[in-house]
Amino acid sequence: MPAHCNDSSVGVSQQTALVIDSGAELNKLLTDVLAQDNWKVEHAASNEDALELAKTDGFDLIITGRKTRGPADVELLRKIRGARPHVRLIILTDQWTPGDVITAMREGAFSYFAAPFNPTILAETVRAAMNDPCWDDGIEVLSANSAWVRLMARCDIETANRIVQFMQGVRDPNIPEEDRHDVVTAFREILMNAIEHGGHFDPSQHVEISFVKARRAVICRVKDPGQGFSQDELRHAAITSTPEDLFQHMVVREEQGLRPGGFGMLMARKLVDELIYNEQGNDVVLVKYLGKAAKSAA
Amino acid sequence: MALELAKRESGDVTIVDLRGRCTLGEETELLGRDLKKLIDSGCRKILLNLTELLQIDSTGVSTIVATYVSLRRIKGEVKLLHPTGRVQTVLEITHMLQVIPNFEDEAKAIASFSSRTYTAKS
Repeated sequence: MPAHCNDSSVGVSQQTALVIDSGAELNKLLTDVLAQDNWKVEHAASNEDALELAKTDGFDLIITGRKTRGPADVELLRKIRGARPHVRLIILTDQWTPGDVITAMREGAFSYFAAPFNPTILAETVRAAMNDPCWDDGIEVLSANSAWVRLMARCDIETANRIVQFMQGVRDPNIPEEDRHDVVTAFREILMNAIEHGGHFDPSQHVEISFVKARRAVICRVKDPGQGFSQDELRHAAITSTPEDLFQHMVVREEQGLRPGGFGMLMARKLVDELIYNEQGNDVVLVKYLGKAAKSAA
Repeated sequence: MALELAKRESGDVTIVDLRGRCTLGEETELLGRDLKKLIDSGCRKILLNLTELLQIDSTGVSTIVATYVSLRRIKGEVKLLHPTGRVQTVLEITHMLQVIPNFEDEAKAIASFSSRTYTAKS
C-alpha cells in the first residue's frame, strides 16, 4: 500500500464537482453543500453526459445520480479514473447488490450510498470528500468474493468512516436489519479502538480487516499494528466497572489523563455474540449469529 | 461538522438540542467543549435533547458521562430527553439510561429538575 500522500497543491485553485441528476431535492442538497465551500458545481443528466464532460473538464469530485444502477456507476468510475486516477466519486443508487458495493470499493470509489439516503450523513460524506485531498490510498481491497472480503485500511478517522459507510451500503438481504445495525456499530467501535490505540491515528500505519458472511453468522476481524494490551490493564474501560458504580472507569481515566472514553469494548460485547481477542490483544474477531441462529445459540 | 448544537433556556435549566451525529472526532470535541463552557459559566441544570440525534458512539456516550460526573461532583444535574432508535439502543447497552434520568416529554423533564437554584459557587 502506498504511503499517505501529501498533496500541497490542493486548495490553490477553485475546485469543481459534477453532480449527476438525482432529482430536484437531492440535487439541491448536494449543490448547497458544495457551494458552501465555494466549489464550482456542474450538472449532468446521465452517466453518458458525465463521461463526455469529464473528458474535457477535470472534476475533483463526481456524485452519481440515484437512478442509475450500481454496476453502471462502477463502470463510469472505471472510465473516469482511467483518465483521472485521483478523482473522488461518490455513488448514489436506488438499485444495487452487495457485490456492487465491494466492486465499487475495489475500484476506488470514495463512498457508496444505497437508497434510502440519510441526507445528514450524505452531506457529511460529501464534505469529507471535499476536505480530504489524500484519500485514495486509504482502503485497499486485498481479496474479495461474495462470502469473504479482506482489506487494509489507513489509521485515520476519515478512512474508518468510509469503510463503515461502505458496510452500511452492503445491506445483504439475508442479514436481518437489526443484526446488520448491531454488527456495523460493534465493528465501528473495534475499528476506532484499533486505529486509535493500535495505530495512534498515524496515517502511515494500517489495520487489516476481514468480513466473512457465513450461512448463519457474520464474522469481522480487525488486526491493528500496535503491541496489544492485557485484559488485566483495562481499569480504564467500562467493562471493568461494577454494577454499584457503572461509571467507575471514568474516574480512572481522569486520573490517568485519558480523554473521556472506555465504552467501546462494552458496546461491542453487547451487540455481537462473541468478541474474541488474541493473546497479544491486537487482533480481534467479532461474531454475530443471525436471526434464529442467535436465539438457538442462547 | 456532523453535529449541530443549539442552546435554549427554560428558567434555570439549559436545554441543549443535539442534531446529527455525536461520534469520535470534531463532533465529540465540540460537545465536550460546549458542555464544559456551560458548567464553567455556572449552569448546573442541563437537559440534553436527543430527539434529532441520529447516531452516538462510545466517545459520544463518554462525553455525556463525563458531564454527568462533573456535575454530580458540584451537585448539578444532567438529564436526557427523548433518545430514539439506535441512539436509545446504545444508551441502554452502556447503562446510561439506568443512571442518567431520561424523559419522553420536555415539560416533564424540565419540571423534574430540583427546585433549588444552584450557582457556580454552591
